[in-house]
Amino acid sequence: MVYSIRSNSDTGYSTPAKGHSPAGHQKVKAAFRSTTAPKGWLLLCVAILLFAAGTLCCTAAAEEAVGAAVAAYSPEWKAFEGEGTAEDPFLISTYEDLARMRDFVDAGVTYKGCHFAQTSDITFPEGVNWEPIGSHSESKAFSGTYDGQGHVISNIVCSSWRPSLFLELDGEVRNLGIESGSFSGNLAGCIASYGTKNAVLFNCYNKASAHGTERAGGIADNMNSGKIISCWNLGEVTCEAGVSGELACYNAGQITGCISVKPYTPAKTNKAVIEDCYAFKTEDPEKSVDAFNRMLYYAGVERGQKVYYVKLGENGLCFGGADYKPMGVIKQEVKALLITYGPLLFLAGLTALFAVWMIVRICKNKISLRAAETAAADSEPAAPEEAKAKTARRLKLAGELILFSVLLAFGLYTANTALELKKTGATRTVHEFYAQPKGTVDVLLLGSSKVGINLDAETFWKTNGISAYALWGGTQPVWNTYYYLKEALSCTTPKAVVVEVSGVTKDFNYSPEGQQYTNTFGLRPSGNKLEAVRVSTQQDRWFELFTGAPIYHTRYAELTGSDFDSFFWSKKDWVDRKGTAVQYASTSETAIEDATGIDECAYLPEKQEYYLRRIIDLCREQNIPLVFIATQTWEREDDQPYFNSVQKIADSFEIPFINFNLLDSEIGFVIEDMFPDDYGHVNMKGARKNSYYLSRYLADRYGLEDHRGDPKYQSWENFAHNTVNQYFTLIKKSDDYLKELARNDRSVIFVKHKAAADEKLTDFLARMQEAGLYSDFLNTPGDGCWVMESTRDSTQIQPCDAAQAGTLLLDGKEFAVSLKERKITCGEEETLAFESGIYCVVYDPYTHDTVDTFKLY
Amino acid sequence: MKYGAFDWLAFWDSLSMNFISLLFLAFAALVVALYYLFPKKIRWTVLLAGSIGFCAVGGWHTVAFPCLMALVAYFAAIVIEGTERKQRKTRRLVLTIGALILIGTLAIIKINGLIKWEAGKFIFPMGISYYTFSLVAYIADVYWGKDKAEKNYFKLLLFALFFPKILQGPIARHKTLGPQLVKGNSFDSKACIAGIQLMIWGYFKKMVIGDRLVMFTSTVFASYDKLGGGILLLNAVLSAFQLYADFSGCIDIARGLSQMLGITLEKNFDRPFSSKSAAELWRRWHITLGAWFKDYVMMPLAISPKLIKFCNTVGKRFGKRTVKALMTIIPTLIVWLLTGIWHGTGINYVLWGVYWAILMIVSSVFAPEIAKLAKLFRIDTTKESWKKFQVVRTFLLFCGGRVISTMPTPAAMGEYFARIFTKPQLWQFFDGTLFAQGLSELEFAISVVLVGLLIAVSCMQAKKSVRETIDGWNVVFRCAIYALALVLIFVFGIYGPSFNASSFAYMNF
Repeated sequence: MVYSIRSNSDTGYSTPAKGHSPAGHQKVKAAFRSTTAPKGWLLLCVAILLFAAGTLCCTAAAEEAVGAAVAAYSPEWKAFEGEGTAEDPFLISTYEDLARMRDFVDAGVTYKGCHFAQTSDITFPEGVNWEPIGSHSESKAFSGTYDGQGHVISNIVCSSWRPSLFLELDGEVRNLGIESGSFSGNLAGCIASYGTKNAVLFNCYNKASAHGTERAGGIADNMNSGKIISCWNLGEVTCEAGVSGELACYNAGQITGCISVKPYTPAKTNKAVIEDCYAFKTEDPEKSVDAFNRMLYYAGVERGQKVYYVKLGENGLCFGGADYKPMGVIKQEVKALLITYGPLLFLAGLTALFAVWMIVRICKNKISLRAAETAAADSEPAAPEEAKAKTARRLKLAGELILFSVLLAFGLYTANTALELKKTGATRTVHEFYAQPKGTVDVLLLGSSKVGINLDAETFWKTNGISAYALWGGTQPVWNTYYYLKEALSCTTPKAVVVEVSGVTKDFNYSPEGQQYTNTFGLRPSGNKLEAVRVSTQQDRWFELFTGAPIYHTRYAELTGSDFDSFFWSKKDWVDRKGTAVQYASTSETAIEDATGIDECAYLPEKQEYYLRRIIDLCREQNIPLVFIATQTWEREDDQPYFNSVQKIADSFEIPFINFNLLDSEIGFVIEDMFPDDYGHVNMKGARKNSYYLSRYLADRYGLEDHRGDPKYQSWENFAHNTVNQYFTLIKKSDDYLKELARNDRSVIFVKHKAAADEKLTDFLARMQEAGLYSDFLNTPGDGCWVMESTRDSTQIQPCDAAQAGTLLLDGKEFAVSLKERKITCGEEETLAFESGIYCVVYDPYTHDTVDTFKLY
Repeated sequence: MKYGAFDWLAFWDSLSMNFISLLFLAFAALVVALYYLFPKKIRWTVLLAGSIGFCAVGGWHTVAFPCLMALVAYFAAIVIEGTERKQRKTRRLVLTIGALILIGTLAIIKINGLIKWEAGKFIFPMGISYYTFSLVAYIADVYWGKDKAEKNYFKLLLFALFFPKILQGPIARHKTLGPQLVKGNSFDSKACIAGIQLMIWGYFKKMVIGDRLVMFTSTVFASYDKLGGGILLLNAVLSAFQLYADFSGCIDIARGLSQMLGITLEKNFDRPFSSKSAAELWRRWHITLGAWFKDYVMMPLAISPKLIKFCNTVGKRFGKRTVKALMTIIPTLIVWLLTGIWHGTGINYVLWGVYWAILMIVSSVFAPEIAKLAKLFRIDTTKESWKKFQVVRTFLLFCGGRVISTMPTPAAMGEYFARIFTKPQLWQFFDGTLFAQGLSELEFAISVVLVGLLIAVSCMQAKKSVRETIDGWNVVFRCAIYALALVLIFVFGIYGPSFNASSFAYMNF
């Protein structure tokens, strides 16, 4: 090796040696000479640098400043001594403190990032049944750190479904002992009943008894993938179903350095990584733990200090502190290292020996090396070719490449467009938004499915001539709403933005996979989309989510005709859709909770709140009025605390917040009649109520223009007609039909056939009158056929020829009425076939189409 | 950005040495572009940097192993070349030790991978089987004077690491590949386009055909004990096509990419399923591996005086024919056992080696008897139908080999073959069982069409290279066919989260 270094420093490095030199020494030198110029190495470095820089540029995105810090707006939950930080934790010294903390966790304060410290031993009062801290839901789990500081809890009595100190643990509990008491119920876990993947139980012990009907664990019940480290249990664990573990029961996650006393299995478990756990083999468990404590004492390790490895050695217990590793562990680690790096060490060792041997031989001149041969720099002589032919060839090649690219682009476009997800409330809603005429959207409605279903853009148009677009995505978290807003503002400038905030109740950092797709796929490839994708999912999925094709290309097996209507040459009617997807479903009669009078606040999930605030920032920056709304939900008691928190944020920025859950009577919302499904979606009637109220509010407050009659806004007129026409076909109740006829201006042909003039008919006619439609003409004996040109002016009635058959003219179309054959035909098509009763044919002179036929009576 | 910040470490961890990703394509394009942008003399450094970068993705050990191995080969070759021919012993010693270090490392890696260690993480340096063989061949060639020792260590390192071939070969020879790598090829648009075309076909074979079929074959192989013989037979046939599509697809990607760089990699497949005998099959399937074993194991053994002496002493008693037979049997058996072990270290691979060895031995040693049999049954071996039969027979033998190597234990293997004959359960083709094995009816229909395509392309290749045929077409058709292939990969390729990530079948050798 020394040799090669020396020859490298040679100035003649770049000159290739020629011919044989007499001395072997020289030959060796030559052998090591390379034909490569030193410039080459420089350029190699440059290449590496270029490569690195290129990759950097490709993926680098501007890091944005961290937004406004999350403000704490509900001070009660931190009313403990201390600041809740690691240096200055909240202090718990009495049972009352602990119970108070429990109540806040039950109310939804997760204390994420907060620290608690127990400052004294707590004895629970007699006769009190302990309610575990938190409940079995992610939003009501304890996510902070609770440090017992070596203190204990005694006399705890807990009898419930999941008897435990912490019901669901998402944080850490350390250095805590449960000295005495009992836990009994279905799924008994003493310190924690249920642990998430973040859960850690460290250096805790339990002496209380655990009794479960289904399962019982001495430290915890189901730890999923959480950790139990250096814990021990001395309490009696019994279970009626026979599923019990001295430490954990169901899923035991990771158990490290724990001691279990009686049965020799540390955990009865589905999945667990158990390391360094030891079970005492002794008849008298008390004795062994005493021995354990004595050992701790002698070693100067007090309870509460870290004890990592405890082992039952040949002479009893042996153990150590944080740095202590028993021989077995060291041996294992060495073995692991050998397995991993053994082959490489083998190769490296032999290579080194071999190399040394060779070099020694070379240096001893035992080998005569032939000189390196000159690698002639091959400069191929350029073939003398006619420049013309060359150009022609190049042109041909270029043409071919262009043709190929065009064909490929067309093929990929067609395939991609056909395969794309096309869902209302997902990609379609966004695509249709892009198709809107520039600058026509006055009100932008944003949020989850509640925006698409609980609001009706048609009503905005109908009542106030407001052009509203519902840009929504199913189960949309606030960050996706934020990026929809950002993207929308890059194409249009609305006069008001309405954001539905019910996304804030969802405590997750990423939505379920399907919703990640639906809430990002619709966006055009842009910086906004890239950002939206980055926020919506884990890094390793950014590419899939941004391009979409890796996910939806498998749809070829499920393509239908409607997948082929989205090409740029076939998507004309997109402009006539405004995102609204109201449902006409019938109603259900479940009781609903009452939200009035709930004024507690819940801690908003951090990421949701962060983007809620960014929405505020964005609207303020662009100077666009922002309105928060919350539409009806079933779980009003659960959701109201979140809405109260939103209210506080909205108040501090003077943003109006309309919570429809509190406005039932004000807007005339009848729960039984308007609330159809379990997802908090109201029906058409409810949507109209909400929209009526909201559109009036917006029109009054922001002075929005009435665009009705403006040809630029014709698509909204088309949309309104289409929506209502579709609604006609779905109405099942006669009364609703009459109301709808009165509400919307349509032409109607009434046919009365063999309807007996009795009380029922009178009643019907009265109802028709009440709905706002003139009905006297039907109150004649005998059959007949009438044309009402416009329901707006329902008194203008033209009776049709009273004869057996007649023709009537409507909007330039001839309708042949035959009472004898009991049908109405328009041209070749049969419009209506009727029997006895009163029928109507609804015709829309705006779309020039027959909308629907209905038996009114 | 508070959320969604880019994490370089996680990004690096998420990378893998794999041809099937857009990132790889971008990387390859970058390397090709830089290659032609650099001055000719140092173009090879771009390849070296690219190769090291590509291997570094697999972890530092993936770079460390070939670096050390190339160092061994480098010293060994230089010393062998530098030692005078008269010093035979020294030369031989260096050759033996060098080769032993290389092969020994490979053996240790293979054994290490075989044992299920309780502790520790077994790391497998990608492609070690391929470059080890290349380097051993290089030392041996230098020893025999067929090749010249490379004086620049980094050039030899590039030969070992060259990234298109490191994953799945072909097992290159330094004599042909080495000079091409370091020469500094000039840009040739025609070769470049031909390379792209070959890559498209490679990706098509791998992503559309191979990975589709593997969904079926892996399911059936896993639940062979619940299925009827009919499906098992079909599976054996499809698994042969699957392996071919997968392996040759990857080779075509590697060859296409090399062609773009002006480098010709050796052919690894030459219409293997048109072979008429087992020996021919192995001259057409994984050609470079077969050639390696022939040149560096079979030939030295066959001409080794010790073996000849041994055969003579043993065979003396039984006559001349036995001596001759032994001279065939012993090297064949050794070569095929080694070939089996090269593919995998399980008992199934040993059996697989024995299987092929027996086939080879039977066909060569008992050739006279077989000819007699044919005469006895009045088979006209010159007829076309007999040749067709031979092709089908050879293909089925290959399928049998595929089953042997895939089944984990001899018992399972026996059960698999037994079921084909004892429990055909042909109704399973019609009662929906067939379409519950990972491929739905639609997917199965697509697969059948694709296998048809594979066979059709093979037939076309018999006359002329398919690319040349297409070059003769009208320009519109020519462009359309390649565009179509890419669109088909886009739609029908097996990629993305809705399919499980698949890896090349021949990558772990």
